[in-house]
Amino acid sequence: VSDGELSLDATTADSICRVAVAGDVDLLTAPRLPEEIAAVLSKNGIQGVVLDLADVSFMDSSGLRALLQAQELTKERGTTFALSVPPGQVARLLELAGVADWFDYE
Amino acid sequence: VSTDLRSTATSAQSASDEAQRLAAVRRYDVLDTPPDGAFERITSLAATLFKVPIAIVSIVDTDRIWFKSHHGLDVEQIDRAPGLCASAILQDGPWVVEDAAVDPRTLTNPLVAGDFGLRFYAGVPLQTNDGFNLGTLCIIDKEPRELAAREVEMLEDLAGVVMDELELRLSARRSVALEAESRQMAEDLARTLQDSLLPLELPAVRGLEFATRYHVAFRDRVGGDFYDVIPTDAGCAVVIGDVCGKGAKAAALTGTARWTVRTASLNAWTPAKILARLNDVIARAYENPERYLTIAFADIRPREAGADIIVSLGGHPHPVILRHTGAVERIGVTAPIVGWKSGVSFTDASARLNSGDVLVLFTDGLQDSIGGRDAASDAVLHEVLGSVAGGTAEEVADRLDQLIGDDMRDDVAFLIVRIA
Repeated sequence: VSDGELSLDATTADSICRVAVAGDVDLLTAPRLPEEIAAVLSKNGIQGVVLDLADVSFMDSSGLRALLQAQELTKERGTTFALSVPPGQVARLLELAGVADWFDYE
Repeated sequence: VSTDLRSTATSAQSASDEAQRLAAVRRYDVLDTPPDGAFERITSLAATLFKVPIAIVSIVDTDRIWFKSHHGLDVEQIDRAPGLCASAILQDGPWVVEDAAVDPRTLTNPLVAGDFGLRFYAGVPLQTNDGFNLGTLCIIDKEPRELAAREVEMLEDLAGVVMDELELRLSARRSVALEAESRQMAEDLARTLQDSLLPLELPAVRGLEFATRYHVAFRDRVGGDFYDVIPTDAGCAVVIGDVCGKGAKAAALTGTARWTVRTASLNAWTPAKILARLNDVIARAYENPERYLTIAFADIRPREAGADIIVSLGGHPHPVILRHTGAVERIGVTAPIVGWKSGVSFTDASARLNSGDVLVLFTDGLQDSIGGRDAASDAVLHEVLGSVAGGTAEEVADRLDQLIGDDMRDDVAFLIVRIA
C-alpha cells in the first residue's frame, strides 16, 4: 500500500539541519536518504542533523540501512545525529530490529 | 530531355539473389505494418514536389508489391507480375519511364494498356546497406512527363530519406531485442546465484517434517532472503535470514552468512553464541559496514513425542509456534541486526514442542504483505495459522502462500518445521 514518493526537505536553523522525511522509504527510494545527508554535511557550519520521520508512510529494512548509513556519515564528520520518531511503524521497525537504542532521539 | 535508358534491365537476378533479397525484406519487418507518419509525409512531399497525383513507398514481396505509403492511390497492394516496381528493383539506380504508352519496356503492361492508364513512372530502389533492393520510392502520373536530371537526383535523395527511416526502425527493433536478451541473461544469472544460496534439497531429519517457500519480488535481481537446514548430532538447526539490499553484493553476504552459520554449527554452541560469531565475522569482514542481515536461528532436538528448541534472533521477526491445539505463540528475544557492528550480544529462548506442533520461521516480507509490523498484522498471521492447526508442514506453507499479494516490494521466505 504505497503512499508514493519519498520527499526530503532540509531546513537549517542555529547550525542544526532538520531533514523532514515524508512518503515511502523502501528499496527504491532509501538510497536518497544518505545522499541527502551527505549533501547537508557538505555545507559549512552544520553541527547537528535531525531526521524527522513523523511523515514516513512506509519503511522497510532498506530504510533502516539508510538510517544507519546516515548515522555513520555524521559520525565520520563529528556531527551530532538524532531521530525524531513518533510511535508507529518506524518506531516498531527500530524496536524489532533491536537497534532502537543505537540512535539518539530529539 | 531524352528518355534516360541507362536503366535498361540488367540480367535477371538468380533465384538465390532473390531469396537473399526476400530475407532482407523479412529482416526489416516492414510488410503489413500500419501506416506511419514519416512515410506519409515523404510521399505527400514527393507528390507536391514533382506535381504528380501519385507517390508510393513500395516493398516488393514474393508475389505482391505492398505499399507502405500510397499517396493519391486507394490501393494497398498489387500483384507483383504487372508491377513496375518489380522492374525498378532490378536496377541499381533510378528507373524512369517518361511515356509508358510508347516505351517498349512498358507499352504492353496491363497498368499501361488497361483502364488504369499509367503513362509516367519514375522509381528509385530502396537499397539496404548490404545492397538489397527492398522496394521503391516511385512517382506516377496518367500523363506523359519529362524528368530532368536534377529532379531524378531529388527523387534519389527522397528515397535515401525513406531508407534512413527504415534503417532507424530496424536498429530500434535490434536495441529492443538486445535489451530483452540482456534482461534474460540477468534473470538467468540471478536464478543460478539464488539457487546456490539455498539448499538444493532439505536433509531428512528423523522426527521432523519441513516445508519451505521463496517468493522473489524482482526476477532479475538476486533476492536477499535465505534459509537453511543444517543436520546436527542432536537433530538439526534451522535458519532463516534476510540480507539487507539486493543483487551481487547482497548475494556475496548471503553466501558468507550461510557458510559461517554452517561452520559455527559444528561446535556445540548455543544459537546466541553462533549469532555472536556470525555478527563478528561479518562486522570485521566488511570494514566500512554497508550491509547487515537479520536472522532467526533455531536449534531443534527431537525427543520422545516432541522436540526441545532453542531460538536466537538477530533483528529478525519472532518465529511463531503453532500448537496442534490451535494456540499460537511467539518465541525469541529481540536482539540487534547482525553484522553492522562487532561486540553485539544475543539471547537464547527455549521451548518444548509436542507432536503435531509447528515452528514457523519467516522473513519480514510476510508481515509487509499482510499490512505491516504491528499488532494487527500479528493478529492476522496468528489467526491464519490457527486455522491450519494440526495440518502438515506443506499445508501450513500453502496457507501462508495465500497471504502473498501480487505487488510484492520485498522477497518473502518461510520455513515450516513440524514435529512428527
